Parts: sequence; structure tokens; C-alpha cells
Amino acid sequence: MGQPYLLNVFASWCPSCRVEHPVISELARSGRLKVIGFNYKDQREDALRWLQQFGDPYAQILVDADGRAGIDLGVYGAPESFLIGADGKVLHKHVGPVTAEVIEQELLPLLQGAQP
Amino acid sequence: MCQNQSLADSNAMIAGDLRKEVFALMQEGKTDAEIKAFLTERYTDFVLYDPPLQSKTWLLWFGHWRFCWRV
Repeated sequence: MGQPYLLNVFASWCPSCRVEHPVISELARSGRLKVIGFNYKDQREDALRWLQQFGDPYAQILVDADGRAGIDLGVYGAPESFLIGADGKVLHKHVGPVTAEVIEQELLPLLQGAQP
Repeated sequence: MCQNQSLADSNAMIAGDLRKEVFALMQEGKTDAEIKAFLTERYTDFVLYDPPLQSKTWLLWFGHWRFCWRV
């Protein structure tokens, strides 16, 4: 990808995903970190409806309908977020809803350290 | 999701998916070691009952003693 991003595992059936959604949206809107969605074990129509209803913060959305790709990432469920470095390596995995604190204290500091 | 249940016992969605995956790997003829490696590569040693004693798993083995001191 050439730049770091947050891979955010979400689904329309996931209540905690709604809880973190404003935080994810604000992060994407601020431009501090690109956010890519990973729609996990969801139905396309449900996901599209969910994004329409709550807003779509994602630069791109990957779709994992049967969860097989999630296994390769080490996903347990939703929501989960993976901080991916510019070189494509996983820098950090956060299980559960992302909060402003998680962004400031767990994620963004790792990006500063990873700068060449 | 309860992280301390066995893969066979857990009702968590991911457990069902992983049981399917393990079964598929067994059908492909993968050995126990290969299947364990498949899971630990993705989910770390945390998924093993008996994680290898290495510096990085020290806390899994002996970490509970630290908490006992506080009682």
C-alpha cells in the first residue's frame, strides 16, 4: 500500500461496531490514518444498509463473507482493528471497540516509531 | 467470547469456523504439528494448551505468581 492504515473488522450484526463507529469515522475524517474496512461474515445488502445508515468512513472495503480470510489474519470476531505499517506488516492488533484513547496511546505512537 | 474454552467445547462463532478449518486440514493429510503451526502462526501460542517455554511466553507460565503476591 505504501502507507500505513487501520484495517477495521466490522459487520452489520455487530453491536459494538456501532459503538466504535463514530471514533473510526472521526479518525478517517481527520486524515491522520487511512481506514480500510473488512466486512466480516456479513450479507452484502445488510452491510450496505448499515453503511448507508451510519456512514461509510472507509477508503476501501474488503469483503470476507465466509470468514476464511479472517482466519488467515487471526481474527476472533468483530470489532477488531489491525494497524498495518507502510511495509504491509501488522504493527498492532486491537480486539474490541476502538476508542479515542486507543488511537492516541496504542496506535498513533507506533506510527511515529515506524517512520523511516 | 471465552478464550479459555477448548476448540471442541466453545460456542463462539470463530470456534465453529476453526473446527471446519482444522477438519479440512486433517482431510488434506496435514499432521498434528502442521495444524498446530497453522493455528499458532495466525493466533499465536496463546491457542496452545501447553505453550512452549520461551522468553515471550514466560508470562503465560509464571505470570500468575506475580498476581498471587498482591493477595
